[in-house]
Amino acid sequence: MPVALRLVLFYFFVALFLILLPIFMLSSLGYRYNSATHSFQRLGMISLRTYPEEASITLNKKRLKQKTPAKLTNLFPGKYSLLLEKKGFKSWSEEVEVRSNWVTQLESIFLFPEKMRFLPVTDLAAASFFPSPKSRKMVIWGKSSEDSGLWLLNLFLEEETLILEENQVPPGFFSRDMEIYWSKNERSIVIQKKGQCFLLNFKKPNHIVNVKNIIGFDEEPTVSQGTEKTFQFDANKIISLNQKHAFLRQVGPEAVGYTQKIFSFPAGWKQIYFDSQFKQLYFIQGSRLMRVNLAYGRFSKLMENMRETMSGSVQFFSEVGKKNETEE
Amino acid sequence: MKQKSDYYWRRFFEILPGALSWLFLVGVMLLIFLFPVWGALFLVAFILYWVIRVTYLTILLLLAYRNLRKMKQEDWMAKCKTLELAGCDKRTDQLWHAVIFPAFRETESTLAPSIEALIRSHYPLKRIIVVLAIEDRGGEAVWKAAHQMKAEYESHFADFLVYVHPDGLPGEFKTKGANITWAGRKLKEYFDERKIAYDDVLISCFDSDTRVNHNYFSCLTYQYLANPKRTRASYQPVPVYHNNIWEAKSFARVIEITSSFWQLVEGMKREKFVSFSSHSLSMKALVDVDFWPVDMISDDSAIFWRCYIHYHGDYHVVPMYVTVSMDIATAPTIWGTIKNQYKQKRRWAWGVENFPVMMMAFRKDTKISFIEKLRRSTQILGEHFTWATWAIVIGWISPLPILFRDYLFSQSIIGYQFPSITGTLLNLTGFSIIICILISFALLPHKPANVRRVQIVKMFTQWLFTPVITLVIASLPALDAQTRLMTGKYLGFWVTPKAGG
Repeated sequence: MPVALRLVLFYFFVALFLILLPIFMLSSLGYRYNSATHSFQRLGMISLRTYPEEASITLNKKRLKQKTPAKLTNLFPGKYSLLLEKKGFKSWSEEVEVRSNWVTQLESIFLFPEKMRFLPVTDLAAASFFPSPKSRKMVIWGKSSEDSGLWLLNLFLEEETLILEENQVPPGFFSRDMEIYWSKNERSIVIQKKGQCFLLNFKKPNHIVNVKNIIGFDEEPTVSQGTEKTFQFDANKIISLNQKHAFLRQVGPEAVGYTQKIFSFPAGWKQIYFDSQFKQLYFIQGSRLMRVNLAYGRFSKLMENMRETMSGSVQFFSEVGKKNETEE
Repeated sequence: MKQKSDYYWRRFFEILPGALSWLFLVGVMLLIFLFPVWGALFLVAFILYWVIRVTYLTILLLLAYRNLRKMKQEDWMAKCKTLELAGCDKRTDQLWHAVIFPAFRETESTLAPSIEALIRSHYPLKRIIVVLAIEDRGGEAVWKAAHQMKAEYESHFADFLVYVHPDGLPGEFKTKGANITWAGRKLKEYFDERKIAYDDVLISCFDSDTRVNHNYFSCLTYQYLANPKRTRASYQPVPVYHNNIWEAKSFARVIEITSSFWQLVEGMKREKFVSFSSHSLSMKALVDVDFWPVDMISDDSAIFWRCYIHYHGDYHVVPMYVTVSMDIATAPTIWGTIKNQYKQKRRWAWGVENFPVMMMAFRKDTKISFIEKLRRSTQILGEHFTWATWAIVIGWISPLPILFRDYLFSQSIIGYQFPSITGTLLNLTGFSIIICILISFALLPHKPANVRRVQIVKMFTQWLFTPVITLVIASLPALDAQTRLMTGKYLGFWVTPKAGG
């Protein structure tokens, strides 16, 4: 090949590089030509991830081909209406602001089922419950003639053990003014009653020892009875509860600031506790301890792992669900 | 005093290539972590440059392949006759070809097929002299095998010489260059005795596993006769690695095929071309420069630079679009193959040792123009710099902005644009890979009867190794070689294991 021809080829590619370089540079920095304003504008983006995934996306009333998780690129700055839908789940919609050179991150949107299932955790007739700090166990005050006493419930294995029978304590010992503190290793509790403390080791049921102090014991997690209450859901979301409904609210400095209704409480509920580690909401309805599973995505995986760790092949929610189900 | 200054200059030029490569790599890493946006922009520019460069080289490869096909059809002997009739000052039957096969431990199983390939040449064998340059330290088995082959093949050629290179001569390193220089000097005596002019002799210095195409000597003769500055040139065939291509590991095959392609492309850039591996040159040039360097590993490229400096820049390489086939460096295990490939590529990359030699010569030479010195020094420095850095930047460094996106870019748009832009750019190189696959198939020798058909499928799927090769073999051996030269830990000669034994 003549040198001249090769040089022509070489300079053609040099020219190509010089032409493409600024285009790729500006494109990397997010610049695009806006034909509406006849100017170059720096774009923004929306990064979306939902739990569960595969939700369809409608942006400014236009259904996109992409499904979540998705990155909605090449968006000029401005406000966009965003609608996320998935069959069997409540839709999620919000007005989202796209800013120049900024990625609006909506990376943990929870889509809740249209019909939320409230599952009984145990057959015990519960008057009150005391979750352990790590939310793996619960002490239940059984009030009915058959179940009266304190029960230890393993939340993952679904096993109940009677740890303190009513006939082992003076009459009136079990009452609403009773307070329970868990040991850090979750193997014992201290029951505080009228200024007196009693240690109960789970290995020695019905054997309570009067102790003077309760060093090394945690206060029980915050439990509310009926009033407006909030629990931390994750880094930038809270669960907000009133007498009738449970909401998920996004908070924080960079938050879009949306609120979504999760479910409505059934009538006659009392005492509520949210386990933020495994995203489980517990409450008593009538005399039943109920659970609502809010674990999706990585949380449901976390839950799964914990279940496998504690027992090889224990059937968990599915089994409980078969026993007795209540729907919203 | 002058000697001391020379030493420091030489060390400076030894340190320069490695230092540049390391400074660049560390600089890019620092840029990414200290100024992430600039770092990402730099990587986009680098990858764009690389994609455009690969596209350009692919077009050159296509053109080179077209040349190769065209030249395959040529009747070189007829062309030589035409030249003679046109009044060429030399005749074909005036020329002698001496073919040197250096051998260390290689015996008949490696050398015999190479000699048999010579016998199949479409060229008068009685003008070919075979020289087996064997190492004394190689042992008696090699010596015996050499003499056995002499007895077996001598009658085919004008002569069959066996020269034994004594071990441990003063000033010599244990290199191939020392062995072939010994053989070259013996050949000089041989031709002196017969009063044969040096410019009537072409020396082909081959590896022991080099099997020539039947047109090699006729093509070489034509190129030599047709070249008005014939003794001021080396003649470079296209090395292909077909001897054991059907048996070699896929991984190694891809590397060697790309090496062949690289040589094909280099041949298109005549003004930059440097001799590599098996090639030929005139005895006159060899005698003028006192043969190959005896203390350098990269004798193939070193001889070019030696001639180039000796003739004050008036020396070039003529590409010959005719193939010579060699062994793929392989081993029974995949790990062994990777190791052998790595060592072979490091030996090739050790060609960077020519840079200080050349620069020291440039300092003293007043006849080569400053522009030419600048062009050649930036060429060799640039080639080795690119070799040592490109795959590390693309394979190891460019994923960093993606891996550390949240830390580096927070919610800035470039963190999200970067993977899609660089991904799109790198996908464009798929075009080049397809061209490479097609050309590799076009060049492939006939499938031997004992090779299963599934092997043909493997010839396609082997290209899936390209990303792994990029990460492991592409740049690391070159960086290793430069670092050794930089730190003064000079490389010893490592003989690539030959498939024949």
